[in-house]
Amino acid sequence: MEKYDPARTKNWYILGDSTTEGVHLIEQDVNFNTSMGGLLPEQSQESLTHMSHVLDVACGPGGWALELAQAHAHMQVTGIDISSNMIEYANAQARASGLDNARFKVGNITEPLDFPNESFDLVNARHIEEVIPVTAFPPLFQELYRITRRGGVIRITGSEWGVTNSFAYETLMRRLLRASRIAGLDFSADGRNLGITPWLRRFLREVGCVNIQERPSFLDFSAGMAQHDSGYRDLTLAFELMQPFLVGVGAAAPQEFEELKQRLSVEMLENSFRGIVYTLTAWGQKP
Amino acid sequence: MATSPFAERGGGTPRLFNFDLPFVKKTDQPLPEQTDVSTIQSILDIASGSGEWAIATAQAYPHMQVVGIDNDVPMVESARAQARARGVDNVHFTIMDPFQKLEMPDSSFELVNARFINGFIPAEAWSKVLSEFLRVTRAGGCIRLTEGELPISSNPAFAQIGGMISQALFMTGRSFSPEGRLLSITPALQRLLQDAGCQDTRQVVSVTNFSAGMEAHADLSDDFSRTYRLVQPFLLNAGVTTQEEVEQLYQQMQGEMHADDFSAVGFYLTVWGKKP
Repeated sequence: MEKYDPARTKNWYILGDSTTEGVHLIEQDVNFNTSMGGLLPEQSQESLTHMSHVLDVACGPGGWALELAQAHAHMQVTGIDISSNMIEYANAQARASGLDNARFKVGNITEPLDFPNESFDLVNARHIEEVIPVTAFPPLFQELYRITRRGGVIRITGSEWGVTNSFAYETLMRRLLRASRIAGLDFSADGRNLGITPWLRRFLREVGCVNIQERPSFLDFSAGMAQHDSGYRDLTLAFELMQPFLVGVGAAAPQEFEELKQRLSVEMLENSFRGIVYTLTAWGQKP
Repeated sequence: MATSPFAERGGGTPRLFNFDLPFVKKTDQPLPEQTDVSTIQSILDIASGSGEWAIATAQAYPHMQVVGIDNDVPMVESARAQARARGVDNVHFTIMDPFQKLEMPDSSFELVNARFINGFIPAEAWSKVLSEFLRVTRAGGCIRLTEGELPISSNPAFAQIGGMISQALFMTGRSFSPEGRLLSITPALQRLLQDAGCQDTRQVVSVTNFSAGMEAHADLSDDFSRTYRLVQPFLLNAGVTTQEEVEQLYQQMQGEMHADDFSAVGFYLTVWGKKP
Protein backbone atom coordinates (compact mmCIF):
# COMPACT_ATOMS: atom_id res chain seq x y z
CA MET A 1 0.00 0.00 0.00
CA GLU A 2 1.12 3.53 -0.72
CA LYS A 3 2.17 5.68 2.17
CA TYR A 4 -0.54 8.08 3.27
CA ASP A 5 0.11 11.59 2.05
CA PRO A 6 -1.84 14.20 4.03
CA ALA A 7 -1.30 16.76 1.29
CA ARG A 8 -3.31 14.63 -1.07
CA THR A 9 -6.87 15.94 -1.08
CA LYS A 10 -8.39 13.52 -3.56
CA ASN A 11 -10.74 10.73 -2.66
CA TRP A 12 -8.69 8.30 -0.65
CA TYR A 13 -9.00 4.77 0.62
CA ILE A 14 -7.44 5.11 4.04
CA LEU A 15 -7.52 1.32 4.17
CA GLY A 16 -6.11 0.86 0.68
CA ASP A 17 -8.06 -0.66 -2.20
CA SER A 18 -6.69 -4.16 -2.26
CA THR A 19 -8.87 -7.23 -2.80
CA THR A 20 -8.66 -7.75 0.97
CA GLU A 21 -10.23 -4.35 1.47
CA GLY A 22 -12.83 -5.24 -1.20
CA VAL A 23 -13.84 -8.31 0.78
CA HIS A 24 -13.83 -6.24 3.97
CA LEU A 25 -16.13 -3.65 2.39
CA ILE A 26 -18.52 -6.29 1.05
CA GLU A 27 -18.75 -7.71 4.56
CA GLN A 28 -19.41 -4.21 5.90
CA ASP A 29 -22.15 -3.69 3.27
CA VAL A 30 -23.91 -6.89 4.27
CA ASN A 31 -23.73 -5.93 7.96
CA PHE A 32 -25.07 -2.44 7.39
CA ASN A 33 -27.81 -3.56 5.02
CA THR A 34 -28.99 -6.04 7.65
CA SER A 35 -28.84 -3.54 10.50
CA MET A 36 -30.72 -0.92 8.48
CA GLY A 37 -33.53 -3.35 7.72
CA GLY A 38 -32.93 -3.57 3.97
CA LEU A 39 -31.51 -1.66 1.02
CA LEU A 40 -34.03 1.20 0.97
CA PRO A 41 -36.18 0.44 4.03
CA GLU A 42 -37.62 3.95 4.28
CA GLN A 43 -38.90 4.19 0.70
CA SER A 44 -42.47 3.03 -0.01
CA GLN A 45 -43.16 0.24 -2.52
CA GLU A 46 -45.01 2.86 -4.55
CA SER A 47 -41.98 5.13 -4.84
CA LEU A 48 -39.65 2.19 -5.54
CA THR A 49 -41.67 1.24 -8.64
CA HIS A 50 -41.08 4.75 -9.99
CA MET A 51 -37.34 4.59 -9.53
CA SER A 52 -35.80 3.31 -12.73
CA HIS A 53 -32.38 4.95 -12.72
CA VAL A 54 -30.32 4.68 -9.56
CA LEU A 55 -26.77 5.87 -8.87
CA ASP A 56 -24.63 4.74 -5.93
CA VAL A 57 -21.63 7.02 -5.43
CA ALA A 58 -18.40 5.74 -3.88
CA CYS A 59 -19.92 2.29 -4.34
CA GLY A 60 -16.75 0.44 -3.35
CA PRO A 61 -16.93 -3.20 -4.48
CA GLY A 62 -20.64 -2.70 -5.29
CA GLY A 63 -22.33 -4.64 -2.50
CA TRP A 64 -25.33 -2.34 -2.15
CA ALA A 65 -25.80 -1.67 -5.88
CA LEU A 66 -25.62 -5.35 -6.81
CA GLU A 67 -28.16 -6.32 -4.18
CA LEU A 68 -30.48 -3.56 -5.36
CA ALA A 69 -30.20 -4.63 -9.01
CA GLN A 70 -30.90 -8.21 -7.98
CA ALA A 71 -33.96 -7.26 -5.93
CA HIS A 72 -35.47 -4.81 -8.48
CA ALA A 73 -35.20 -6.02 -12.05
CA HIS A 74 -36.86 -2.83 -13.36
CA MET A 75 -34.02 -0.65 -12.05
CA GLN A 76 -30.88 0.32 -13.92
CA VAL A 77 -28.28 0.63 -11.20
CA THR A 78 -25.00 2.46 -11.75
CA GLY A 79 -22.11 2.55 -9.32
CA ILE A 80 -19.07 4.81 -9.42
CA ASP A 81 -15.91 4.62 -7.40
CA ILE A 82 -12.45 6.13 -7.60
CA SER A 83 -10.73 2.76 -7.38
CA SER A 84 -10.40 0.79 -10.62
CA ASN A 85 -9.72 -2.31 -8.51
CA MET A 86 -13.10 -1.92 -6.80
CA ILE A 87 -14.86 -1.28 -10.11
CA GLU A 88 -13.29 -4.36 -11.72
CA TYR A 89 -14.34 -6.39 -8.71
CA ALA A 90 -17.93 -5.04 -8.90
CA ASN A 91 -18.26 -5.63 -12.65
CA ALA A 92 -16.94 -9.17 -12.24
CA GLN A 93 -19.52 -9.78 -9.50
CA ALA A 94 -22.30 -8.42 -11.76
CA ARG A 95 -21.22 -10.74 -14.60
CA ALA A 96 -20.92 -13.72 -12.28
CA SER A 97 -24.45 -13.10 -10.99
CA GLY A 98 -25.82 -12.57 -14.51
CA LEU A 99 -26.99 -9.06 -13.66
CA ASP A 100 -27.28 -6.92 -16.79
CA ASN A 101 -28.99 -4.04 -14.95
CA ALA A 102 -25.94 -3.15 -12.83
CA ARG A 103 -22.92 -1.40 -14.25
CA PHE A 104 -19.90 0.14 -12.62
CA LYS A 105 -17.41 2.71 -13.78
CA VAL A 106 -14.53 4.64 -12.35
CA GLY A 107 -15.44 8.11 -11.14
CA ASN A 108 -14.06 10.62 -8.66
CA ILE A 109 -16.75 12.20 -6.49
CA THR A 110 -14.54 15.13 -5.57
CA GLU A 111 -14.66 16.26 -9.22
CA PRO A 112 -17.59 17.11 -11.53
CA LEU A 113 -19.55 13.92 -12.22
CA ASP A 114 -19.62 12.50 -15.71
CA PHE A 115 -23.43 12.34 -16.05
CA PRO A 116 -25.90 14.65 -17.83
CA ASN A 117 -28.30 16.83 -15.83
CA GLU A 118 -31.34 15.02 -14.37
CA SER A 119 -30.14 11.49 -15.07
CA PHE A 120 -31.32 9.65 -11.95
CA ASP A 121 -34.45 9.03 -9.89
CA LEU A 122 -32.37 8.14 -6.87
CA VAL A 123 -28.83 9.10 -5.99
CA ASN A 124 -27.44 7.23 -3.02
CA ALA A 125 -24.30 7.91 -1.00
CA ARG A 126 -23.33 5.60 1.84
CA HIS A 127 -20.52 6.20 4.28
CA ILE A 128 -18.69 8.66 2.06
CA GLU A 129 -17.55 10.42 5.25
CA GLU A 130 -14.89 7.73 5.40
CA VAL A 131 -13.45 8.58 1.99
CA ILE A 132 -13.73 12.29 1.23
CA PRO A 133 -12.78 15.36 3.26
CA VAL A 134 -15.40 17.63 4.84
CA THR A 135 -14.71 20.38 2.32
CA ALA A 136 -15.62 18.07 -0.57
CA PHE A 137 -19.21 17.64 0.60
CA PRO A 138 -20.86 20.92 -0.52
CA PRO A 139 -19.57 20.74 -4.12
CA LEU A 140 -20.46 17.03 -4.27
CA PHE A 141 -24.02 17.78 -3.18
CA GLN A 142 -24.31 20.43 -5.90
CA GLU A 143 -23.34 17.74 -8.38
CA LEU A 144 -25.70 15.14 -6.93
CA TYR A 145 -28.51 17.68 -7.14
CA ARG A 146 -27.68 18.49 -10.75
CA ILE A 147 -27.85 14.87 -11.92
CA THR A 148 -31.07 14.07 -9.99
CA ARG A 149 -34.41 14.39 -11.80
CA ARG A 150 -37.09 16.75 -10.49
CA GLY A 151 -39.07 14.76 -7.96
CA GLY A 152 -36.12 12.40 -7.55
CA VAL A 153 -34.49 11.57 -4.26
CA ILE A 154 -31.01 12.19 -2.87
CA ARG A 155 -30.20 9.86 -0.02
CA ILE A 156 -27.21 9.86 2.28
CA THR A 157 -26.22 7.48 5.05
CA GLY A 158 -23.51 8.17 7.58
CA SER A 159 -22.33 6.44 10.73
CA GLU A 160 -20.73 7.61 13.88
CA TRP A 161 -17.99 5.23 14.94
CA GLY A 162 -18.83 2.62 17.49
CA VAL A 163 -19.43 3.08 21.19
CA THR A 164 -18.11 0.20 23.28
CA ASN A 165 -16.87 -0.91 26.67
CA SER A 166 -13.47 -1.97 25.32
CA PHE A 167 -10.48 0.09 26.38
CA ALA A 168 -8.54 -0.81 23.24
CA TYR A 169 -11.43 0.03 20.93
CA GLU A 170 -12.11 3.38 22.60
CA THR A 171 -8.42 4.31 22.60
CA LEU A 172 -8.05 3.32 18.94
CA MET A 173 -11.10 5.46 18.13
CA ARG A 174 -9.48 8.44 19.82
CA ARG A 175 -6.32 7.87 17.77
CA LEU A 176 -8.35 7.46 14.61
CA LEU A 177 -10.32 10.64 15.25
CA ARG A 178 -7.05 12.48 15.78
CA ALA A 179 -5.71 11.05 12.51
CA SER A 180 -8.92 11.95 10.69
CA ARG A 181 -8.68 15.49 11.93
CA ILE A 182 -5.13 15.77 10.63
CA ALA A 183 -6.29 14.37 7.29
CA GLY A 184 -9.32 16.69 7.10
CA LEU A 185 -11.85 13.82 7.28
CA ASP A 186 -13.20 14.91 10.65
CA PHE A 187 -16.58 16.58 11.18
CA SER A 188 -16.45 16.54 14.92
CA ALA A 189 -16.33 19.57 17.15
CA ASP A 190 -14.79 17.66 20.05
CA GLY A 191 -12.77 14.69 18.78
CA ARG A 192 -15.07 12.22 20.56
CA ASN A 193 -17.42 11.45 17.69
CA LEU A 194 -16.84 11.49 13.97
CA GLY A 195 -19.68 14.01 13.93
CA ILE A 196 -21.13 13.31 10.46
CA THR A 197 -24.75 12.70 11.48
CA PRO A 198 -25.84 16.28 12.32
CA TRP A 199 -24.58 17.39 8.89
CA LEU A 200 -26.62 15.08 6.66
CA ARG A 201 -29.87 17.03 6.76
CA ARG A 202 -27.96 20.25 6.40
CA PHE A 203 -26.17 19.17 3.21
CA LEU A 204 -29.53 18.24 1.67
CA ARG A 205 -31.21 21.45 2.76
CA GLU A 206 -28.42 23.74 1.64
CA VAL A 207 -28.45 22.32 -1.87
CA GLY A 208 -32.23 22.85 -2.21
CA CYS A 209 -33.86 19.54 -1.28
CA VAL A 210 -37.34 19.53 0.26
CA ASN A 211 -39.34 17.02 2.35
CA ILE A 212 -36.15 16.01 4.14
CA GLN A 213 -36.57 13.08 6.49
CA GLU A 214 -34.28 11.03 8.69
CA ARG A 215 -34.18 7.47 9.91
CA PRO A 216 -31.81 6.07 12.53
CA SER A 217 -30.47 2.54 12.64
CA PHE A 218 -27.93 0.73 14.76
CA LEU A 219 -25.65 -2.23 14.56
CA ASP A 220 -25.16 -4.12 17.80
CA PHE A 221 -21.91 -6.06 17.61
CA SER A 222 -21.78 -7.02 21.28
CA ALA A 223 -20.66 -10.51 22.26
CA GLY A 224 -23.48 -12.98 21.76
CA MET A 225 -25.24 -10.89 19.10
CA ALA A 226 -25.69 -12.15 15.53
CA GLN A 227 -23.35 -9.49 14.17
CA HIS A 228 -20.57 -9.98 16.68
CA ASP A 229 -18.49 -12.43 14.63
CA SER A 230 -18.63 -10.41 11.42
CA GLY A 231 -18.07 -7.21 13.42
CA TYR A 232 -14.99 -8.76 14.98
CA ARG A 233 -13.57 -9.83 11.61
CA ASP A 234 -14.48 -6.48 10.07
CA LEU A 235 -12.83 -4.45 12.82
CA THR A 236 -9.67 -6.47 13.27
CA LEU A 237 -9.16 -6.29 9.50
CA ALA A 238 -9.98 -2.57 9.43
CA PHE A 239 -7.48 -1.75 12.17
CA GLU A 240 -4.89 -3.90 10.41
CA LEU A 241 -5.41 -1.98 7.16
CA MET A 242 -5.57 1.32 9.01
CA GLN A 243 -2.14 1.05 10.58
CA PRO A 244 -0.22 2.81 7.77
CA PHE A 245 -2.70 5.70 7.87
CA LEU A 246 -2.65 6.13 11.66
CA VAL A 247 1.08 5.77 11.94
CA GLY A 248 1.69 7.76 8.74
CA VAL A 249 -0.06 10.88 10.00
CA GLY A 250 1.60 10.52 13.39
CA ALA A 251 -1.57 9.80 15.39
CA ALA A 252 -0.21 6.61 16.93
CA ALA A 253 3.24 5.18 17.57
CA PRO A 254 3.78 1.80 15.87
CA GLN A 255 4.50 0.04 19.16
CA GLU A 256 1.40 1.42 20.89
CA PHE A 257 -0.76 0.62 17.88
CA GLU A 258 0.46 -2.99 17.87
CA GLU A 259 -0.36 -3.38 21.58
CA LEU A 260 -3.82 -1.83 21.20
CA LYS A 261 -4.62 -4.10 18.26
CA GLN A 262 -3.70 -7.18 20.26
CA ARG A 263 -5.65 -5.99 23.25
CA LEU A 264 -8.66 -5.29 21.00
CA SER A 265 -8.64 -8.88 19.74
CA VAL A 266 -8.75 -10.12 23.32
CA GLU A 267 -11.39 -7.66 24.55
CA MET A 268 -13.74 -8.12 21.61
CA LEU A 269 -13.82 -11.87 22.14
CA GLU A 270 -14.65 -11.60 25.81
CA ASN A 271 -18.20 -12.49 26.72
CA SER A 272 -18.61 -9.08 28.36
CA PHE A 273 -17.84 -7.09 25.17
CA ARG A 274 -20.55 -4.56 24.31
CA GLY A 275 -20.59 -2.33 21.23
CA ILE A 276 -23.03 -0.42 19.04
CA VAL A 277 -22.65 1.67 15.88
CA TYR A 278 -25.23 4.41 15.31
CA THR A 279 -26.19 5.28 11.74
CA LEU A 280 -28.41 7.97 10.28
CA THR A 281 -29.98 8.03 6.83
CA ALA A 282 -31.33 11.32 5.51
CA TRP A 283 -33.16 11.76 2.23
CA GLY A 284 -34.86 14.62 0.44
CA GLN A 285 -36.52 15.42 -2.85
CA LYS A 286 -35.37 17.69 -5.61
CA PRO A 287 -38.40 19.96 -6.15
CA MET B 1 -21.01 8.50 54.18
CA ALA B 2 -23.01 5.34 54.85
CA THR B 3 -22.53 2.72 52.21
CA SER B 4 -25.84 1.83 50.71
CA PRO B 5 -26.40 -1.57 49.13
CA PHE B 6 -28.16 0.35 46.39
CA ALA B 7 -27.18 3.68 44.98
CA GLU B 8 -26.35 7.10 46.32
CA ARG B 9 -28.13 9.60 44.18
CA GLY B 10 -26.36 12.53 45.77
CA GLY B 11 -23.26 13.69 43.95
CA GLY B 12 -24.63 12.67 40.56
CA THR B 13 -25.84 14.75 37.68
CA PRO B 14 -29.26 16.12 36.85
CA ARG B 15 -31.17 14.08 34.23
CA LEU B 16 -28.84 14.58 31.30
CA PHE B 17 -31.19 14.12 28.38
CA ASN B 18 -34.84 14.32 27.48
CA PHE B 19 -34.33 13.26 23.88
CA ASP B 20 -37.65 11.42 23.81
CA LEU B 21 -39.97 14.19 25.01
CA PRO B 22 -40.31 16.11 21.70
CA PHE B 23 -41.49 12.88 20.05
CA VAL B 24 -43.90 12.12 22.88
CA LYS B 25 -45.28 15.64 22.73
CA LYS B 26 -45.74 15.51 18.98
CA THR B 27 -47.25 12.04 18.66
CA ASP B 28 -48.88 11.35 22.06
CA GLN B 29 -47.06 8.02 21.98
CA PRO B 30 -44.96 7.59 25.12
CA LEU B 31 -44.55 3.84 24.43
CA PRO B 32 -44.16 3.77 20.64
CA GLU B 33 -42.40 0.41 20.55
CA GLN B 34 -44.99 -1.49 22.64
CA THR B 35 -47.35 -3.23 20.26
CA ASP B 36 -50.04 -4.03 22.81
CA VAL B 37 -50.58 -1.51 25.59
CA SER B 38 -54.07 -2.82 26.43
CA THR B 39 -52.62 -5.36 28.88
CA ILE B 40 -50.75 -2.66 30.80
CA GLN B 41 -52.86 -1.43 33.71
CA SER B 42 -50.20 0.15 35.88
CA ILE B 43 -46.88 1.83 35.22
CA LEU B 44 -44.13 2.92 37.59
CA ASP B 45 -41.98 5.79 36.32
CA ILE B 46 -38.59 5.85 38.04
CA ALA B 47 -37.12 9.26 38.96
CA SER B 48 -40.15 10.95 37.46
CA GLY B 49 -38.64 14.42 37.95
CA SER B 50 -40.80 17.15 36.46
CA GLY B 51 -43.41 14.50 35.68
CA GLU B 52 -43.63 15.24 31.97
CA TRP B 53 -43.29 11.65 30.78
CA ALA B 54 -45.62 10.22 33.44
CA ILE B 55 -48.31 12.85 32.79
CA ALA B 56 -48.10 12.39 29.01
CA THR B 57 -48.40 8.63 29.50
CA ALA B 58 -51.44 8.93 31.77
CA GLN B 59 -53.02 11.27 29.24
CA ALA B 60 -52.30 9.01 26.26
CA TYR B 61 -53.60 5.88 28.01
CA PRO B 62 -56.59 6.74 30.22
CA HIS B 63 -57.05 3.06 31.19
CA MET B 64 -53.71 3.04 33.00
CA GLN B 65 -52.67 4.11 36.49
CA VAL B 66 -49.28 5.81 36.35
CA VAL B 67 -47.15 6.26 39.46
CA GLY B 68 -44.09 8.50 39.43
CA ILE B 69 -41.51 8.32 42.20
CA ASP B 70 -38.74 10.77 42.96
CA ASN B 71 -36.92 11.88 46.10
CA ASP B 72 -36.73 15.52 45.07
CA VAL B 73 -39.59 17.07 47.04
CA PRO B 74 -40.02 20.34 45.07
CA MET B 75 -39.98 18.33 41.82
CA VAL B 76 -42.68 15.99 43.07
CA GLU B 77 -44.80 18.93 44.19
CA SER B 78 -44.36 20.61 40.86
CA ALA B 79 -45.27 17.39 39.01
CA ARG B 80 -48.43 17.06 41.11
CA ALA B 81 -49.38 20.66 40.34
CA GLN B 82 -48.82 20.03 36.61
CA ALA B 83 -51.04 16.96 36.67
CA ARG B 84 -53.80 18.88 38.49
CA ALA B 85 -53.52 21.85 36.13
CA ARG B 86 -53.86 19.55 33.14
CA GLY B 87 -56.77 17.67 34.71
CA VAL B 88 -55.00 14.31 34.63
CA ASP B 89 -56.23 12.16 37.51
CA ASN B 90 -54.74 8.76 36.63
CA VAL B 91 -51.21 9.81 37.54
CA HIS B 92 -49.81 10.01 41.07
CA PHE B 93 -46.48 11.24 42.33
CA THR B 94 -44.85 9.90 45.47
CA ILE B 95 -41.79 11.08 47.33
CA MET B 96 -39.53 8.04 47.43
CA ASP B 97 -35.89 7.31 46.65
CA PRO B 98 -36.13 5.41 43.35
CA PHE B 99 -32.70 3.82 43.78
CA GLN B 100 -33.11 2.31 47.24
CA LYS B 101 -35.33 -0.52 48.34
CA LEU B 102 -38.76 0.53 47.05
CA GLU B 103 -41.53 0.84 49.63
CA MET B 104 -43.89 -1.13 47.45
CA PRO B 105 -45.18 -4.70 47.46
CA ASP B 106 -43.81 -7.30 45.03
CA SER B 107 -45.49 -7.57 41.63
CA SER B 108 -47.20 -4.16 41.69
CA PHE B 109 -46.79 -3.00 38.08
CA GLU B 110 -47.05 -4.30 34.53
CA LEU B 111 -44.37 -1.89 33.37
CA VAL B 112 -41.49 -0.21 35.16
CA ASN B 113 -40.05 2.63 33.13
CA ALA B 114 -36.69 4.35 33.68
CA ARG B 115 -35.55 7.08 31.32
CA PHE B 116 -32.09 8.63 31.22
CA ILE B 117 -31.12 7.69 34.77
CA ASN B 118 -27.47 7.01 33.88
CA GLY B 119 -26.05 10.11 35.59
CA PHE B 120 -27.97 9.39 38.82
CA ILE B 121 -26.30 6.17 39.88
CA PRO B 122 -22.88 4.52 39.84
CA ALA B 123 -22.37 1.91 37.13
CA GLU B 124 -21.90 -0.81 39.74
CA ALA B 125 -25.30 -0.05 41.32
CA TRP B 126 -27.28 -0.91 38.18
CA SER B 127 -27.68 -4.61 38.87
CA LYS B 128 -29.10 -4.10 42.39
CA VAL B 129 -31.34 -1.27 41.18
CA LEU B 130 -32.65 -3.40 38.33
CA SER B 131 -33.38 -6.38 40.57
CA GLU B 132 -35.47 -4.07 42.74
CA PHE B 133 -37.34 -2.84 39.66
CA LEU B 134 -37.92 -6.48 38.75
CA ARG B 135 -39.28 -7.28 42.22
CA VAL B 136 -42.09 -4.73 41.87
CA THR B 137 -42.88 -5.91 38.31
CA ARG B 138 -45.56 -8.58 37.80
CA ALA B 139 -44.67 -11.85 36.10
CA GLY B 140 -45.20 -11.27 32.38
CA GLY B 141 -44.73 -7.52 32.88
CA CYS B 142 -41.72 -5.63 31.64
CA ILE B 143 -38.89 -3.27 32.49
CA ARG B 144 -38.25 -0.56 29.94
CA LEU B 145 -35.02 1.43 29.91
CA THR B 146 -34.21 4.42 27.71
CA GLU B 147 -30.70 5.88 27.62
CA GLY B 148 -28.77 8.08 25.25
CA GLU B 149 -25.20 8.74 24.30
CA LEU B 150 -23.98 12.35 24.32
CA PRO B 151 -25.58 14.56 21.68
CA ILE B 152 -23.46 14.84 18.53
CA SER B 153 -23.02 18.44 17.51
CA SER B 154 -20.93 20.49 15.14
CA ASN B 155 -20.85 23.37 17.62
CA PRO B 156 -17.69 23.35 19.74
CA ALA B 157 -18.81 24.72 23.14
CA PHE B 158 -21.91 22.53 23.29
CA ALA B 159 -19.83 19.50 22.30
CA GLN B 160 -17.05 20.38 24.72
CA ILE B 161 -19.33 20.56 27.76
CA GLY B 162 -20.69 17.17 26.71
CA GLY B 163 -17.14 15.86 26.66
CA MET B 164 -16.53 17.20 30.17
CA ILE B 165 -19.65 15.42 31.40
CA SER B 166 -18.44 12.19 29.85
CA GLN B 167 -15.05 12.59 31.50
CA ALA B 168 -16.55 13.47 34.90
CA LEU B 169 -18.98 10.53 34.80
CA PHE B 170 -16.05 8.26 34.06
CA MET B 171 -13.99 9.66 36.93
CA THR B 172 -16.87 9.25 39.40
CA GLY B 173 -17.73 5.67 38.43
CA ARG B 174 -20.94 6.60 36.63
CA SER B 175 -19.85 5.49 33.19
CA PHE B 176 -19.78 2.25 31.25
CA SER B 177 -16.88 3.57 29.22
CA PRO B 178 -13.44 2.19 30.09
CA GLU B 179 -11.81 5.59 29.49
CA GLY B 180 -14.48 8.28 29.23
CA ARG B 181 -14.72 9.04 25.49
CA LEU B 182 -18.49 8.45 25.45
CA LEU B 183 -20.97 7.22 28.06
CA SER B 184 -21.14 3.66 26.65
CA ILE B 185 -24.39 3.13 28.56
CA THR B 186 -26.46 2.26 25.46
CA PRO B 187 -24.56 -0.88 24.41
CA ALA B 188 -24.64 -2.03 28.05
CA LEU B 189 -28.42 -1.89 28.54
CA GLN B 190 -29.54 -5.15 26.98
CA ARG B 191 -27.03 -7.23 28.93
CA LEU B 192 -27.93 -5.43 32.18
CA LEU B 193 -31.56 -6.43 31.71
CA GLN B 194 -30.64 -10.01 30.82
CA ASP B 195 -28.35 -10.31 33.82
CA ALA B 196 -31.15 -9.02 36.05
CA GLY B 197 -33.29 -11.91 34.83
CA CYS B 198 -35.38 -10.36 32.06
CA GLN B 199 -36.31 -12.45 29.05
CA ASP B 200 -37.19 -11.69 25.42
CA THR B 201 -35.19 -8.47 25.55
CA ARG B 202 -35.57 -6.17 22.56
CA GLN B 203 -33.98 -2.87 21.57
CA VAL B 204 -35.04 -0.04 19.32
CA VAL B 205 -33.08 3.04 18.28
CA SER B 206 -34.43 6.58 17.96
CA VAL B 207 -32.89 9.87 17.04
CA THR B 208 -33.90 13.44 17.78
CA ASN B 209 -32.52 16.13 15.52
CA PHE B 210 -32.67 19.41 17.42
CA SER B 211 -30.69 21.56 15.01
CA ALA B 212 -31.79 25.14 14.35
CA GLY B 213 -35.07 25.16 12.45
CA MET B 214 -36.19 21.72 13.67
CA GLU B 215 -39.37 21.23 15.68
CA ALA B 216 -37.45 19.84 18.67
CA HIS B 217 -34.99 22.74 18.75
CA ALA B 218 -36.84 25.03 21.15
CA ASP B 219 -37.63 22.37 23.76
CA LEU B 220 -34.26 20.67 23.74
CA SER B 221 -32.17 23.83 23.65
CA ASP B 222 -34.09 25.04 26.73
CA ASP B 223 -33.58 21.64 28.28
CA PHE B 224 -29.82 21.61 27.63
CA SER B 225 -29.48 25.19 28.84
CA ARG B 226 -30.99 24.12 32.14
CA THR B 227 -29.14 20.79 32.42
CA TYR B 228 -25.73 22.13 31.44
CA ARG B 229 -26.13 24.85 34.07
CA LEU B 230 -27.21 22.41 36.79
CA VAL B 231 -24.40 19.99 35.94
CA GLN B 232 -21.65 22.55 36.57
CA PRO B 233 -21.12 21.81 40.31
CA PHE B 234 -20.72 18.12 39.39
CA LEU B 235 -18.08 19.03 36.79
CA LEU B 236 -16.24 21.26 39.25
CA ASN B 237 -16.30 18.60 41.98
CA ALA B 238 -14.89 16.07 39.55
CA GLY B 239 -12.13 18.52 38.71
CA VAL B 240 -12.57 18.38 34.93
CA THR B 241 -12.92 22.15 34.55
CA THR B 242 -12.67 25.47 36.34
CA GLN B 243 -15.46 27.86 37.21
CA GLU B 244 -14.10 30.38 34.77
CA GLU B 245 -13.72 27.93 31.90
CA VAL B 246 -17.13 26.32 32.27
CA GLU B 247 -18.89 29.68 32.61
CA GLN B 248 -17.22 30.94 29.48
CA LEU B 249 -18.12 27.74 27.57
CA TYR B 250 -21.67 27.92 28.84
CA GLN B 251 -22.07 31.47 27.52
CA GLN B 252 -20.60 30.41 24.19
CA MET B 253 -22.96 27.44 24.07
CA GLN B 254 -25.99 29.70 24.59
CA GLY B 255 -24.88 31.69 21.57
CA GLU B 256 -24.37 28.56 19.49
CA MET B 257 -27.80 27.22 20.30
CA HIS B 258 -29.51 30.33 19.04
CA ALA B 259 -27.46 30.63 15.86
CA ASP B 260 -28.77 29.50 12.47
CA ASP B 261 -26.01 26.93 12.08
CA PHE B 262 -26.67 25.07 15.32
CA SER B 263 -26.59 21.35 14.46
CA ALA B 264 -27.15 18.53 16.91
CA VAL B 265 -28.63 15.06 17.01
CA GLY B 266 -29.20 12.74 19.94
CA PHE B 267 -29.32 8.97 19.44
CA TYR B 268 -31.07 6.99 22.14
CA LEU B 269 -31.88 3.37 22.70
CA THR B 270 -34.96 1.88 24.31
CA VAL B 271 -34.47 -1.63 25.65
CA TRP B 272 -37.15 -3.71 27.29
CA GLY B 273 -37.52 -7.21 28.63
CA LYS B 274 -40.09 -9.40 30.28
CA LYS B 275 -40.14 -10.65 33.83
CA PRO B 276 -40.58 -14.41 33.49
